[in-house]
Amino acid sequence: MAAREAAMSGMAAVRATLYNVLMRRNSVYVTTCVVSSYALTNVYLKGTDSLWKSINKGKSWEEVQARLPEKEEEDDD
Amino acid sequence: MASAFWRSLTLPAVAAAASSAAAGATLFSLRPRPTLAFADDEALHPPHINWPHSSYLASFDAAAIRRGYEVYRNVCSSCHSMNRIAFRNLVGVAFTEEEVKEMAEDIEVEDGPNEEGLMFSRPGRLSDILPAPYPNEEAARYANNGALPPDLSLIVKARHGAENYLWALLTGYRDAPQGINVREGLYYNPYFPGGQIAMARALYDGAVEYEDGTDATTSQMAKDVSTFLAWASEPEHDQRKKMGLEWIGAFSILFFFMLYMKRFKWSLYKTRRLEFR
Ligand code: HEC
Repeated sequence: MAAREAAMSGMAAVRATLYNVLMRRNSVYVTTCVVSSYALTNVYLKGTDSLWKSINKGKSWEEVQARLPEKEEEDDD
Repeated sequence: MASAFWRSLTLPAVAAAASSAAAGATLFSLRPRPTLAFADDEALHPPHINWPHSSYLASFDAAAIRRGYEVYRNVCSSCHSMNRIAFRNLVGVAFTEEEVKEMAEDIEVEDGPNEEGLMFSRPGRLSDILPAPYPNEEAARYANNGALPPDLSLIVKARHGAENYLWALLTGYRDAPQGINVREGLYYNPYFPGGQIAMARALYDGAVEYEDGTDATTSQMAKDVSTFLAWASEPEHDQRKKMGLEWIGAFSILFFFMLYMKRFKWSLYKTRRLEFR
């Protein structure tokens, strides 16, 4: 198997390997879909989240809260 | 940087058209307009303001919501209720849970009946709605010369021009131009339909003292309370815009996969040859 792929050009070899490893058996294929969609969703949401945070820098409650430490001390007495 | 670019994307005339179809040029600054002469049933269109939350991907400024609540609490709440907003809604938006608990405990709430069938009062809790100034509409009208101060929970959604209108209304009080007779108990305000409103000017420089040291000018307070009321009308605003970013972004990526798939599937049909004999 490996020898046959070695004879192929780069891209074709990658595709053949992907096919053999991930898609040949349906159980493996479905698992791959589920696991990779979970992983990709996480990565994607992390990305959009940091984009959102950089667009709205300084406006979120977390950041605003971090900017008011004095008030809490006053409140305590 | 990229963030500056995104922030500079401002809602174009779409919102303007929705709020005031007849408005001419869209103004993107806090520039007051000259007073115009107008017929009784007309109102001056509010200028469009470039709010920190105006752009497609802009969230509310939590600091402004926090200051805006201060203004509502100290000024507006003596006449206006906000019966869709409970104390707990403020938690994690502009106040910490401890702060809101303290605020709630400061008010008395009538609860009951207890096991004897009697109503009793207790300190407020997170789940209580913000206290109303009047027990009912009649009392509210009686105290305000017959005019009813509307509930402010959804006022931003209930008025053309939304927060732009609110800001213009709150800062728009001035002497009536010559030739306009202001009825007794009413106040001249060109942004209010009809030009005469039963609410006196509520905001004067220094009406509240901001804990964060912001200068409490009339326009600053109007801006903050409008932001607070815009949040109250649409608490899901930030979530909505963020989800828009996520979904439109995801579908934009999927679009190219779909494009590839379509071309892939159709390649057979596009390249076959039909012969008729
Ligand atoms: C002295 C009592 C009083 C105070 C304080 C007050 N209002 Fe009012 N408000 C009124 C009354 C009365 C009306 C009804 C006016 C009318 O219908 O002519 C009104 C109407 C309004 C309206 C509706 C205008 C419209 O288009 O129908 C808004 C918005 C408003 N008030 C916002 C505020 C805000 C924000 C504050 C705090 C900065 C505030 N008000 C403070 C009494 C008050």
